[in-house]
Amino acid sequence: MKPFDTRRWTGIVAITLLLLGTGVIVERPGLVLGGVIGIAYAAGSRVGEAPAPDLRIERKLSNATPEPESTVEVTLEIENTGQTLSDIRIVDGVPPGLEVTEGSPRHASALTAGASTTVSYSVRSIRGTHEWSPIRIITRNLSGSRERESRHETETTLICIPELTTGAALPLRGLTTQYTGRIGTDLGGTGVEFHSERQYRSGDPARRIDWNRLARTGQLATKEFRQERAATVVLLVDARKEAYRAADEGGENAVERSVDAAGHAATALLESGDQVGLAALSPTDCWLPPGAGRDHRQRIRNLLAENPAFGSTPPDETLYPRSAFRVLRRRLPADAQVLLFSPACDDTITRLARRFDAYGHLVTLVSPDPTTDETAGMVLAAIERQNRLSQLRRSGIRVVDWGEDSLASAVADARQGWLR
Amino acid sequence: MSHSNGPPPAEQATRDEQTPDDAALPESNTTEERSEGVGKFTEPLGASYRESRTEADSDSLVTIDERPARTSSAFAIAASIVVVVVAATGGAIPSVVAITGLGLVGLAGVTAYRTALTAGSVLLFLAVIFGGIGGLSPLAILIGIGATVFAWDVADHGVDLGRRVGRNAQTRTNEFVHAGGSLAIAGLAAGFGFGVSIVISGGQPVTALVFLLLGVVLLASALT
Repeated sequence: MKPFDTRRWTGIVAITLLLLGTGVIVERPGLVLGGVIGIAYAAGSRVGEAPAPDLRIERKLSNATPEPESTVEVTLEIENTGQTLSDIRIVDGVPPGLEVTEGSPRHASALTAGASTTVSYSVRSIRGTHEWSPIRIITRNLSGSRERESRHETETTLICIPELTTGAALPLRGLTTQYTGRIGTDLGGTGVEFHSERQYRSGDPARRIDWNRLARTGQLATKEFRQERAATVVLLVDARKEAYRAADEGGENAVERSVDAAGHAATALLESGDQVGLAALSPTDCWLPPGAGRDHRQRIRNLLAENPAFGSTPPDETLYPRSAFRVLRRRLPADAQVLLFSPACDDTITRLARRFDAYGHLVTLVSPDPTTDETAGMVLAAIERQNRLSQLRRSGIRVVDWGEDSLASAVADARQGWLR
Repeated sequence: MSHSNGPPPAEQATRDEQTPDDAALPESNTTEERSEGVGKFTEPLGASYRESRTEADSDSLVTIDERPARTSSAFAIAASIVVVVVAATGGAIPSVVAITGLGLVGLAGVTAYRTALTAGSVLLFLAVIFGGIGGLSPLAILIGIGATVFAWDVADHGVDLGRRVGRNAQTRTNEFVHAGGSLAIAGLAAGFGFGVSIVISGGQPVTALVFLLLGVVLLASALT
C-alpha cells in the first residue's frame, strides 16, 4: 500500500508561530528562541518516508492437529531482510474462531537491517479448519508523520477434528426402509416383540405356529412379531446466520451444539444399522448422501469438523430458504427421515420443518436453546421460541427442546410427551 | 444409494398425493405470516438474542487492552513534570496551569483519552508561555517547550500503540526508539537555541531574532 500522511504534526507550525508572535509582541527573545524547538520538530517530521518492509516471517504451531479445547502455542519469527524499520507494528491474522488465551498476537518493535524478533501467543483450539489470514504490518518513519500499511502472507492451517463419540440415541420416527434395524414398526412379520396372530397359511415356518392354541382349540394359527426395520436418516444442521446464537457470552453457540449433537446421533444411528446422511442448512453447500459403514462414519466426522458450512463463525451470505428446500428435497431419498438440528430462532425454520414433514420426510427437531432471561427482549425471544416449538408439536413434529442439561436427559424429557 | 428407491408402497402413495407444486408454497407462507400477528406486534420491542461472534469483529475477538503503552506514558509524565518544575520558577499562574496540564496528560496516559492529551499539552505549552512573559530565562523556556512537545509526542505515540497493538503486547523497543528520536530532536534544537541566546545576549532587537529563525526555516525546507 502507498504511504500516507498521519497528520500528527499539523499543529507544530501553529505552535511555532504562536511562540514567535508572542515573543515579538512582549519583546522576549527567550520565547522567540523557543520557536526553534517547533521548527526542529516540523523539520524532523519532513525527514524520511515510511519504509516498505521486507520481512521474512515464519509461523510455527506447537501442534497443527490438536484435540479440541487444547492450548496451541503460536510463534511468529520475524526477520528484517530489508532496510532499518524504526517503527513497525505487526498484527497477526488469528483465525476468527480461535481465542487467544495467553500473550498477544500483536507486536510493536524497531528492527535494524538483519535483526529479528519473535511474537508468541497461545490459542485454544476448537473444532474446524482454521486458516490464518495475512499479517498486517504497519510501518512509520521515525517521527511518525508518514505511515504505510502492508500485508504479509504466511499460510498456516490448524485442523482440529474431534472424535465422534456415542451419546444419546435419538429415537427415530416410523418411516423406515425395508432393511432390518431397530425401529419397531406396526407391521407383523419376523421380529422379537409379539404383534398379532393370524390364520395359518401353508408354508409358514413351524417355529411360528402357536402350538398352545392348536392344543387348546385345534386350530392352526401363526404368530406375527413386530417387524423391526432400519431407517434412512438425514441429519440437517441449521447453520444459517440466524442460528449462531449463544446463551452466554463466549459460550458455545447453537451451531456448535447442533454439530456436536449431530455427531452423537450419527454414531448412534450408524451403530444401529441405519443409513445416515448429512446436510447443512447454510449458504455453503454441504451434502453427504445417506450411507453406512466405517468409511462413511469417518466421512461424517470430517465433514462435521472441517466443512466451512459448520464453521465457528456465521456465514456472510444469507440463505434463501425456498431454493434451499428445493435442493434438499431433490437430494433426499424418498424414505428419508429428517433429524433437524436448529435453535429455532426464526419462523423460517418452523416453516421448513413443517414443509419437510408435509412432503413425507418425518421430521424430528432437536433444538438447542440459546435464549436467556436477562433482558425483556431476551425473555420475549424465549417466549417466541417456545411458541414456535409448540406450534411444531401441534403439527405432529417431534421436538426435543435441549436446554442446558445433557442431550440424553433432554431426549428423555421430550420422549414422555411423544406418542409412539 | 442403490436400495433407497424401495420405500414401503404406502409411503410412496401418500407422498404423491401430498406433493403440491412449489408455486403453491408461497401462498401458504403469507397466510402463516399473517396469522402470526403476535410476532409482528412484538417486533418493535425487539426480541433479542445474543449473537455469537462474527467474522467481521474478529479483530475485537482478540481482546486488546486499548490503554496507552506503559513506557511512553511514563516518558510523557516525566517530561510533563519537567515542564511543571520549569513553570514553577516562573510564578504562581504558570505553575497552576502546568500542574493542570500534567494532570490531563497523566489522565490520557491511563485512559487513552486523546482530548485530555491535547488539552493537557496545550496547558503545558501555555504555562511555559506565561512563564516566558513573566520573565523566564531563555534556557528555561527552551527546556519547557522542548519537554512539552516531547511529552505530547511520546504520549500520542503511546495512545496510538495502545489503540493499534494494545497494552499487553510487547512494545518497549518501539517506544524507546521513538522517544529516543524525539528526545534527540528536542535536545539538538534546545542546544542550538541556547547557543544563539548566548551569542545574542548583547541585546539585539527581537525582530532580528525572528529573521534569523526565518532564515533557519528556509534553510531547513531547502535541505529537505
